[in-house]
Amino acid sequence: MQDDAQLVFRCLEGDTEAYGDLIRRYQGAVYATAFYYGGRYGAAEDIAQEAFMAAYRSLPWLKEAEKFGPWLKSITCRTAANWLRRHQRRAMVETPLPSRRPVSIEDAGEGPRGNLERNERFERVQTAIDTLPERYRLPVILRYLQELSYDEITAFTGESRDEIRGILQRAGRQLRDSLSDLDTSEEGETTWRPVSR
Amino acid sequence: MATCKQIESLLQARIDAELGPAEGVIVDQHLAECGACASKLRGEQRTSAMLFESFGPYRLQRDMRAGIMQHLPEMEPLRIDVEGVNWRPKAPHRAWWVAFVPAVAALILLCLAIPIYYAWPKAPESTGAIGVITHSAGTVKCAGTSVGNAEAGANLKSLIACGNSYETGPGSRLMLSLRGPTHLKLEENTRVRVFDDRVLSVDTGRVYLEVAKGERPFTVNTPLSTVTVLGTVFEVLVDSQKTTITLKSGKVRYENDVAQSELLPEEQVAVTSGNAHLTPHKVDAASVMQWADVIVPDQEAYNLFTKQVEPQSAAELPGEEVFAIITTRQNVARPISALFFAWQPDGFSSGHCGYEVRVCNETMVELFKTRVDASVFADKSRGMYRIDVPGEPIRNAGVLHVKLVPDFSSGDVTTSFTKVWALGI
Repeated sequence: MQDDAQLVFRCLEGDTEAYGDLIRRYQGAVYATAFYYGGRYGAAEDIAQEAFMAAYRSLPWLKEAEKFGPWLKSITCRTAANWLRRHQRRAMVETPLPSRRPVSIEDAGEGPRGNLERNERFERVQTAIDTLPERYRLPVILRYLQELSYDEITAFTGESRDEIRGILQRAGRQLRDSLSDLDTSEEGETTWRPVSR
Repeated sequence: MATCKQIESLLQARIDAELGPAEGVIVDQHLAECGACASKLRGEQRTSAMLFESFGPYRLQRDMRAGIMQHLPEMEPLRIDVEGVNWRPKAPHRAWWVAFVPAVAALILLCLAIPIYYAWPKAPESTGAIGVITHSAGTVKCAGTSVGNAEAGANLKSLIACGNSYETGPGSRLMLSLRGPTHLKLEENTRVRVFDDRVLSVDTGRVYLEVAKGERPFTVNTPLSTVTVLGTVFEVLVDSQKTTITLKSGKVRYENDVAQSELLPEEQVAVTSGNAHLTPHKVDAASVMQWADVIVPDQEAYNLFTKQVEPQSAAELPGEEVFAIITTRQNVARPISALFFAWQPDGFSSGHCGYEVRVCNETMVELFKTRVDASVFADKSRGMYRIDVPGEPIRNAGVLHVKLVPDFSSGDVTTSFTKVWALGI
C-alpha cells in the first residue's frame, strides 16, 4: 500500500485515481469532523464532500506531503466553519439533530417510542461530549462515530499515538461518570451498524 | 506486578483492542485476579457500547469517492512536475497584474509624499546670528562671514556670526552682545574672535565680559591661558608677556600650560607661560574696569539684539516695586517731608521707562502720587532722587508704603532701585 506522500505526488502528476485512494483512506475521519461541526444540521456529507474538493484544489500548496492527514483536517475544519457561516440563518431556523437524521427502512419498524428514547439518549451523549475539554472532543467523535483505530486518528489529527491513547482513556472515564445514570442494560434491538470500509 | 492504577490507564485501550501483545497479557492477568479492576472494565465497556450505539445511526454508510471523483475533472488539472517532498509551485493561480502591485504601491506612496513634502510647515529660517554689535566707536575691523542679509561688518547693529573676529584700532571701542545674554566690551587695540556664543579667543588687548549663566561653560582662550566660567563679570587683559584676569563677581577657572586655579571676586591674577605658581592678589575690580563703564549699548541696536537674537528675554514683564518705610521712632510717628530713592546706574544711555510713585499709609489709603521722569535715569551722573511731600508733611502714618509702578511709554529699560528712605522732621 502506498503511503500518503506517494499518493499526493501521483495526484500532482495528474493521477486522479490516487486522489480516490486518499478519499477512501480519510473519508471516515473527514465525515466525522464534518459531523462534529455540522452534524446537527444534517450537513456532514455536504461539508465532507466540499472539504475533499477544496483539498484537491489546494494540493499544490501542501508543503509536506507526508502530513497530508493533519493538513486535510485543517481544511475540513475551515470548510465546516465556512459552511456554518454561510448557512447560519438556515441553521438557526431548522430543527437540529437528531430528528434531521436520515430515516432508513430498519428504523421504520421501531415505532415512534423507540425513536424518541434513542433521540433522548443521543442528546445526552452529545451534551456529555460538549462538556469534555475541546482537545478531547474530535478524537472521541472519530473513535465512536467512525470506529477509527488509534493509528487512523493519529494520522488525521497529527497527535502521537500515546497522546490519543491518553485522551481516549481520560475522555472515556469522564463520559462514564456523566452518563452513568443512563440505563444501558435494557434489552432491545440495537441501532448499531458496521462501518463500511 | 502492575498496580491497579497502571491497569486502569490501559482499560480503554483494552476495550479498543489497541494494546500491544505484552500489555494485553499483563492486563488480562491482572483482571483475572482483581475483581475491582474487572468491574471497572465492565463499566467502561458499557459506556463504550452505549457510545457506539448512540453514534451508530449517524455513521457514514456509503463510499463518498464516486460523488467527489465525478467533480474532479471540472477542476483545473494538476499536471505539475514534482521534485521532492517540499516542492511548492511559486504562484500557480496568480493573475498577470499582481506582478505590478509593488511598483503601483510605490508610485501611490510617492504621489502622496510629494504634496505632503511641499505642504510641510517650514521651520522659521534662523538668521544664524549669535549676537549683535550694540556699541561701536572709532575704527573697528571685522573679518568673517556675513549673516542673513546683513554684511559682515563692525558697524553698529551688524550681526555676529560664528567665527567672526573683531579688532579695535587706537581710540576705538566696541560692544558685542551675544546670545545668553553675554556682553563683551572691547577696549582699544583689542582683537577677539567669536567661535560661538560660549567660546571666544582674545589675541591681544583688553576685554570686559558679563557672562550669562548657561548649560555650557563659557571659555575665553588667550595665547597664554584659558579661562572657564559659568556666569560672572570679569576682565581679561592680554599682552605679549602675560594675561591679566580681574574678577568682579562670580567665579572663574583659569589655566596656563602647566597649572590651573580659581579666582575669587575682587581678585586679579597675571598668568604667564610656564609659571606653575600663579598667585592672585586683591584689587578694586570696579576701578580696574572703570574704562568699560563708558561703553553703553545703543538702544536701537539693543532692541535689535533682543528681537533677533534673544527673543526669549524680551518676554520678561517686570512688575512694580513696593517699599515700606516705618516712620515711628520710640512710639512717636515722625512727620515726613520728603522721600529719597537710590538706584544702581545701568549701561543704557536712553530708552528708560518712567515711574509713577504712589504713597499710601498703613491702611493702604493713598496719600499722594507723583511721577519720576525717564530722563532722570538716563543721567548717569546721578544715582539718587528726592521727592518733596506736597503741602503739609505726612503725620501719624506709622508705615508708608511706597509703590513704584513702571510706565513703559518712554522706553523699556527698567531701573533697579536699591534703597528708598524718608526724611523725618
